[in-house]
Amino acid sequence: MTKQRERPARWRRLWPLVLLAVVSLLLHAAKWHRLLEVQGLFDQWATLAATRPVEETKVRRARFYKSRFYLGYPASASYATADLVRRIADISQPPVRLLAIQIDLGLHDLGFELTIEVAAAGPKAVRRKLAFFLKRLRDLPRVFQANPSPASLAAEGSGGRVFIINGRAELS
Amino acid sequence: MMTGKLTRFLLRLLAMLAVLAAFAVLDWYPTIKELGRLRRERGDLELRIKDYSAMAGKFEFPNEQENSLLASDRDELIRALPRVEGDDAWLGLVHSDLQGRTKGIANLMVISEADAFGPGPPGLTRWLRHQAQEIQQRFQAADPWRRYPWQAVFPIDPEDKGHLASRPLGVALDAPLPELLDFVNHFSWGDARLEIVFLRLEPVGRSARAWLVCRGSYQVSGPSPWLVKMDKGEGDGELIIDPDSPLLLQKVDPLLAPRIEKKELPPADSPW
Repeated sequence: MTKQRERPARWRRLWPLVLLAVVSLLLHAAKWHRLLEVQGLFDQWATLAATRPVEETKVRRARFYKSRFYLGYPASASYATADLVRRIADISQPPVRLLAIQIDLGLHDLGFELTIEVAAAGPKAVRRKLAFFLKRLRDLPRVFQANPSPASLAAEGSGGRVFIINGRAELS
Repeated sequence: MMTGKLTRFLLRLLAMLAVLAAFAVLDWYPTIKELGRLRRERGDLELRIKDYSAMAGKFEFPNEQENSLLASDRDELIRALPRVEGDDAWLGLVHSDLQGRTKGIANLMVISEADAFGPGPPGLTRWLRHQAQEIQQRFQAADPWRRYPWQAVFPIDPEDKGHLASRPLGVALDAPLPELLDFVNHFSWGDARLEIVFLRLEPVGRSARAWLVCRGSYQVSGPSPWLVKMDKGEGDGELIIDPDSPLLLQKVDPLLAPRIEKKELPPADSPW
């Protein structure tokens, strides 16, 4: 009789603890279940990437196009350089005299700097000849930019005016 | 009596609250936080799998023909580079390469160091000395430690016995303009695979004189101060292809790739 009275009293003291433990167990079970879900998804992702290697294939294809570019670049750059000098020399007829040309090669285009001397009587005639030369220069194939350098407008050559023209042209 | 019972009740209540707080702080809160993190990770993975499956649906995977094309392209790339034992051997190759193409050119100098211009034709050497500083700057610009645009082209293969090296070199010449331009056009056609980096040309009467700085890449089996640092990844460097480009979703098409062609300049009186 005494023991039966003691059991309900002990239960009254312990039930809050049991409740807390049950809540903890439920939370941990939920966490374990979600962990298994994430692991399953991760395995699915790894299998997908291994059986359908998109990124690896893209890298191989990109390398193919890059190597084709590399193999063709030296000859293409040499031709573009020689051809541009040839065309500029062709249009540099009196009263325009080509003093120097510099070409700086990039991967897809090149920069050029021309030093020219324009022989004409008077500043207006010089400006007209220069404008005509610039038009012919800009009309050359693959040339997409050509402008006289502002700092060059003051130099005097031997009987003319010396200008520096900076520009850019495509390689192919 | 009542006070005693009240006190015991309050103490029990406090003890229960302390146990509840301990459970909440030490167990429930970290577990709920972890559940949140796992939920986000699950969402990310599901999205990634969905996107990847959608992309793979539009992707053309390589077949045997494409695999063979890619493998032969890699072999061609490796074969394109001269293989030498040392830097001096490569210089020797360059000399014989260039000397074989000096038709119509009386004066040609190869400059292996930025500040060493001799021996050579006096007029040409004097002209080069006036531009020594510019030549030195251009040599430095072509130094592989400063700039080498082709790193991403060459895969790092631990089985390769040779190492990729690149070296700047100068060439100076004077000749009639048509012959000089032919030389410049044919400059890269030889086995040394030289690439022009910079050119300066000055007409002199009916002739012209020029100096250029070029870069040569080669595979060297011995030690070399010109080794290229192969530390860049696929997407690094100057030659970049957009990884989302539609070009990479289809099988490679050689017709879409840049062409490798050697063209002659038009004749002197040509309108083109």
